[in-house]
Amino acid sequence: MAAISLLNPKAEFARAAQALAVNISAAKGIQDVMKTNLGPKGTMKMLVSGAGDIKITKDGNVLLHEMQIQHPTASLIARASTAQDDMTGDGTTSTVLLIGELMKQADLFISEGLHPRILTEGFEQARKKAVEVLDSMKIPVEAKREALLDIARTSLSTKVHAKLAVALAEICVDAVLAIRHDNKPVDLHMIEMMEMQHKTEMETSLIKGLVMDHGGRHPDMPKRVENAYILTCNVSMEYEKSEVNSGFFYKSAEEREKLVLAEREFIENRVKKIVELKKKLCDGTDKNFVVINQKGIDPMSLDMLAKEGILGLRRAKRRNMERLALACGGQAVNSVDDLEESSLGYAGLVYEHVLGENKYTFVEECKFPQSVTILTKAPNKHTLVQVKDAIRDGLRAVNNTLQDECVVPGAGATEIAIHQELMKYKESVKGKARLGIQAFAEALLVLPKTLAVNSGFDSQDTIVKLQEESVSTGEPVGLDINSGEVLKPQEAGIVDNFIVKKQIINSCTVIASNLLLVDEIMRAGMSSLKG
Amino acid sequence: MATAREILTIQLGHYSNFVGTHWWNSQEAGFNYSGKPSDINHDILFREGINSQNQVTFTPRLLLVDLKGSLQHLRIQGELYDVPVPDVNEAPWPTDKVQVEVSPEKEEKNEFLKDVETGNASSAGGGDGTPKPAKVYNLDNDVKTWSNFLVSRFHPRTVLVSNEYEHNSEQQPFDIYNYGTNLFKNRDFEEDLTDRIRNYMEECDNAQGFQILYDGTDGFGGIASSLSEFLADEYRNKSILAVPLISPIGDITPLQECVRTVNFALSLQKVSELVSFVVPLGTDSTNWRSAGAPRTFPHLQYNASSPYHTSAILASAIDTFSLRYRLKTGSDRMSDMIDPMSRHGRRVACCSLGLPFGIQEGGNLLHTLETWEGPLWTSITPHCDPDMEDLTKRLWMQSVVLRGIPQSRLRGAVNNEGGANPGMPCDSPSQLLQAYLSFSTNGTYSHVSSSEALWKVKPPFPRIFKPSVALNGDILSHGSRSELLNMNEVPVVASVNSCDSIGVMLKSLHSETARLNIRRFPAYAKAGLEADEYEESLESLYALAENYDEKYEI
Ligand SMILES: Nc1ncnc2c1ncn2[C@@H]1O[C@H](COP(=O)(O)OP(=O)(O)OP(=O)(O)O)[C@@H](O)[C@H]1O
Ligand SMILES: [Mg+2]
Repeated sequence: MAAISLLNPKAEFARAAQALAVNISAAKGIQDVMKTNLGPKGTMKMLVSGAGDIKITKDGNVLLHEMQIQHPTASLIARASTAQDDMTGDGTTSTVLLIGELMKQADLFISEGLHPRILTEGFEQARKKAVEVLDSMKIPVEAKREALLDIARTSLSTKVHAKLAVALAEICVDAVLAIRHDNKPVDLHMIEMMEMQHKTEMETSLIKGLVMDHGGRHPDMPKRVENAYILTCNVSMEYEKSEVNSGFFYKSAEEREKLVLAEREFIENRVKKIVELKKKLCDGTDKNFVVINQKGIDPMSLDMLAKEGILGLRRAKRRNMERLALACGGQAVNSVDDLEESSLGYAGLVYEHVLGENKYTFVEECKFPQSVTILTKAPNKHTLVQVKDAIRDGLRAVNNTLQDECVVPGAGATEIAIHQELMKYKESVKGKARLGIQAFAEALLVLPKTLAVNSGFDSQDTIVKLQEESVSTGEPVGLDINSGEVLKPQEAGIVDNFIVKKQIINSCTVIASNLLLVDEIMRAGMSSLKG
Repeated sequence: MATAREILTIQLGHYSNFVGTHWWNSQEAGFNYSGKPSDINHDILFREGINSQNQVTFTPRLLLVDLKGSLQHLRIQGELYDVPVPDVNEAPWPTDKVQVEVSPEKEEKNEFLKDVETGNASSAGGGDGTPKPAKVYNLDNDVKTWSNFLVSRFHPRTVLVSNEYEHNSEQQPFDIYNYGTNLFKNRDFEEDLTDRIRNYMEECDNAQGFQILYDGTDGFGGIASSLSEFLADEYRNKSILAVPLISPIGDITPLQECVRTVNFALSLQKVSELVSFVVPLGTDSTNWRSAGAPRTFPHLQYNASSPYHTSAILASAIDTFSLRYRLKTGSDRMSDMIDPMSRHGRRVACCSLGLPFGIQEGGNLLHTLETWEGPLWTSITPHCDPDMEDLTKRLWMQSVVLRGIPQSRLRGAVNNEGGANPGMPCDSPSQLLQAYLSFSTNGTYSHVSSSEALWKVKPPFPRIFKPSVALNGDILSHGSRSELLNMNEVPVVASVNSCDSIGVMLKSLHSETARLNIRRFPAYAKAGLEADEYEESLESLYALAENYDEKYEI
């Protein structure tokens, strides 16, 4: 069974009943740690390590990676939840809460003598039904800015304060739309994430072009050029004693010197070719020339470029080669022989920004940028990290929506609706499996309940209100976390990704069932969960 | 291009970081802010920068990787650039909903670190200054992790902690080669690692290449393989020197011993295929499965099971042999050492170390060599026992560095031995040693470099020198050093050499691993290692060993 493979082989076997009790209590334990995180009114955690490192997060996924989890069952749940994040980028906290609640509900029935096997059969039936209900709640979404803003804002507002969430949501949507073409799936890696420890997170912005974390390495190179040809290349402009020659000894110092000179000249010729092209295209015009190289450029070569007023950057990111071509046009070249104008890209503005020992180069005003950069700013490293994490979630939420072509109502609406449908469905099922369906339905309510508690409202009051409203209107209803009253999520613009919700339902069912069916569990490291 | 010869050092794994910690500490202890400048070019291994307060920093050009929970008191970001204070107002979130969780400091800092913090430690890190009676530290029992004795301060880019695995975890130990290769496939990890390398390389005007210290017996061997692949591709013309380290075995089961050996074989094979040169190091004489007797040094008494002790010995060797390409006086690059030695596919070499280089109190080099008995040094590559004098063994080539013998100690002031001695025409320590080696070896090509810089062994370097070693590293002819004083510095000799003994080592590693049934270790298969992939790797290991057979000599 997959569930056990993560456990320590040295461990002893525990008796089945004990094992189950252990699993249930571990699931509850990790649920307790995570439940305060859920939703826009959840608690932000600021983790300070013994050495003073700071990590700020509200993200279940990040938190699970930071925690030292010793308990095997808890660690299994943690891994299932982070797998959830790997797949969809969201829903980690919900996963932990739902597994915990499924285990709690199961516990009630099992303690009354119900066999776990029967429960899990019920779970499986409930899971299928739940996915059907979820399917029926889809809200179709077009690839339009306004529609996508809702999902981005909902996702981001669970990670950063409202004002920032609004700003970042626009950035995320605009970024994805900028690189999306012909309805093809978007490669989010074509959105470069650059960070600058500077000013505040509200200054975070979308650059329609590229920002690189390096600049010219020669004092005479221009710091700002307009109307620039961009040569993107992967060509060494650095004197290197080539390893190819290494098979022999130099007979004499002169011979060695000669080889060095030959190699030097070889490199010089490369640079000369670039200079020639620049002269041909730019001299006598108002055009400029920028070289962005993936390989090194040594001081002598830099000097040659600087003399011609060429801005040369060395050691560009491998992935930026592709991004540059997408942002500026042209293509990355691997050789400077037969260079032509058509391989060059274009940018209206290229300029450098210096921050302490760090330099940044902005390549902007591109004609049809198909690669863009999100430039995150924050006064310190830990806020940078946090904001970047949030942006990633936002981007994935937008991208998921484009793939799903739909969203589902948030704010607890899907859970309320599924609960209701399952309770009806239960009546149609014969035998004790219906108890499993009931347990499953009850467990789902943990999400709206926790949202309510985190917002300062009574969980039972809330559930009753929501259920009544749902029954009387027959429409999806969710919790207004500011007033404690009922709202219509779609109208309020609170929506979740369909794929995320579906994945939560599926994976929680599988994990909870595995934990319930565990006949024997290794007893290693039973020390309790450490937060 | 003689000036810029930058090298980026990469440390992968906990034991590598032990070795590195000693290395950086001692280098910094040798920084000389007054008096005669050192002949070591520190700009090669260190970088200059500016922090946010516009202060100039000088920090190791270093990237290190370790696992969650291994840092203890060390901040990931270091302390030079930005020291954050937890402030709930900083989180972009309503302050009443911010929960600050401070994890308690696990252990108190040891006395030495406290003194470093308050500036009271008159030891490493602060140049040599005037000799004042220093506090004596014994950190043997205090050192649990390398951060317990780290004096150097790092650039924020240096420390990379993987959150996927926990240090010393029993639940999910990072003990399988493929865990490392898989971790490298994790896009975030790979990007973070390679981007930091790029940031370092972008700063370099004409880098020589990379030195990679890695733990060869666990998952870090896998990271080293994957990283080597990346470096060989991205930085094609740069030299890469890999130093697989074999940590003291410790208290483990026979099964775990096999796993260590398999990891070592897999990573050594793969790495040696990709990098320019490989010098495996460890202080046990043999190592596959169970450890053999620890290597002995005439003037050392050390605890062979202590990572703190053994790593200090290995650091001494690495610092010394690497001087060849780090001197102000020379223009040698790593490739000058590596290329001639790695011909015929002999990309693995071994290393021997004389710590200290035993020169009598007040004695000179000529007399010392003339009266030398026994080997000059001790092998610190397990299973390798090069012997220069044994005619049945072959030692083709070696790169030797002798440090800490100034010109003034070349020979006695009065010398009545006349011109008969072959050492006489030599007018530098390197020439003298070169002459000595050419007479005492059997067809070995020796390249000798020398540096005046002694190796600093003040605290937190462990107290591993016998009482017969004086504070300055000389050997006392009688009496012993006061236990109340700290050692200061010692002369050292180290040799990296290519010899047939490496073939023997590789073959024994091959036969040790070939007789294991890899299916008995399901963790490998689960982590994605296929049985035939394993076979193939072992075959390549054998082929590598065959490069050391004499018949392949051209
Ligand atoms: N404005 C809102 N009002 C009510 N509920 C909201 C609002 N915004 C989001 N939610 C709900 O919050 C839940 C998501 O919370 P959150 O993002 O904190 O947890 P998660 O997605 O389960 O885990 P992760 O930490 O991985 O993001 C969803 O159920 C969503 O519908
Ligand atoms: Mg979420």
